[in-house]
Amino acid sequence: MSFIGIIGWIISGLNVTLLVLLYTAIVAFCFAFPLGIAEYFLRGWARTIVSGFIDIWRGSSVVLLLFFLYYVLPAAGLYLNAYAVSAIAIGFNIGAYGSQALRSSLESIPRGQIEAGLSLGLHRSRVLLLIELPQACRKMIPIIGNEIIAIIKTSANVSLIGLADMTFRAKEIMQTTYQPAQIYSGLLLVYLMICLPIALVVRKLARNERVR
Amino acid sequence: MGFDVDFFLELLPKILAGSLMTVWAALLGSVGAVAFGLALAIGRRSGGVGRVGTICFSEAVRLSPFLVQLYFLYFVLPTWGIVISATAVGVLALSLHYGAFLGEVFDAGLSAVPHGQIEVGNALGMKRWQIMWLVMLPQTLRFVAAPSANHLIGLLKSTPYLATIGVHEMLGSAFDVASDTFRYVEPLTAAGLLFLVFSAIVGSLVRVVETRLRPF
Repeated sequence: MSFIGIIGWIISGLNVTLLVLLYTAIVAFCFAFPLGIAEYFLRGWARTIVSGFIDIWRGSSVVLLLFFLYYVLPAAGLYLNAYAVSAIAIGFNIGAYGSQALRSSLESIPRGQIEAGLSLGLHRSRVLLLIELPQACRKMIPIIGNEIIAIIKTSANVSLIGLADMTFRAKEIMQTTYQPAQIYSGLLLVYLMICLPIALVVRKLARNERVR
Repeated sequence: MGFDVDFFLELLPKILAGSLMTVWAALLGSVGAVAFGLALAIGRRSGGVGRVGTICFSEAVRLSPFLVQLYFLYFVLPTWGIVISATAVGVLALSLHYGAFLGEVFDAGLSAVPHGQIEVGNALGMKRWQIMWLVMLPQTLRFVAAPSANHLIGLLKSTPYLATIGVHEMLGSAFDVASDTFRYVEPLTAAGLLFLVFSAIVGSLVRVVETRLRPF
């Protein structure tokens, strides 16, 4: 098989990779926002519980999680398809990192801004919504870009539980035509071509942020 | 298909035996990653071809999946006539991947040491390697301790990938038990729990290192 043919076959798994990216990004977002804000606001034992929950997802390995959820949940009577399992395993893991980024961006906003908002008579929730979150989100933009790259890279793992993504396609042609050098360098190249533009945009955004 | 506690306790020693391989691979991989990261950081500061080459290499490594890099080394090295064991391939992949990340960290750490220190070293007649070894690196250590530790935790968390190329570490031995007995729940639970314990231990070690080696 020619190199172009190999690349074409690998690209045929792109839709699955992008679908996993979409699902995972949604799950990660839904994990990171509430938990990051909760960790920021809570004190005492409630905070310990939230931090502990985040740390469990942050501290575990995505590969292990994927296999664990895929093989063990059915024993508890919960049948999820491979997309759901990947979205939960990767999404909770990346979301746990994202929640920490959100919390530290919120914490980095000067105290005086919150006090100013409160003394103007705004409710605490309005201060969060109108003053803190917009600034934190701006700081988060480069981080979100990096997390998207992380999700794309981690999405290669879904081939291990049978989703036909780009890595899975590469393994397929690996079995029919044994050309490891062309196939795996082609696969690396395709991932690089997807992630490099995102990385360049992220770097530019981060630089703009520093100049401002 | 419920959860059989007796079976769980029976297989725990096997998974623990596999965890020795996890620790071994993580330790060797860490040493390799630190050495390789240091080489990349110093290469980047040498200027010219070394700079361009190391930047391209570390960007390429940082922007592609670890799983694919692992497959690449596992399948392509033999076609180049380099035949090494699966464990060695795994350790090599861990070293290269996390070395690229550590290279960035070390580079930033070396840049954080004031330039005057190099000039002082020159003025005292020290050789280049002496300046690097005796002046720069000891000060860099304080800056890089915390971020490097985070990457090394990442390295530990990547060791289960080695199971995909047939290394008998924790996840690998869990799958061995599973394919012997057709029971997946207990072995995977054991591997998952042990792994959480591991990363908790390493996490608290890292916290100690961070407080001891804080930048002034």
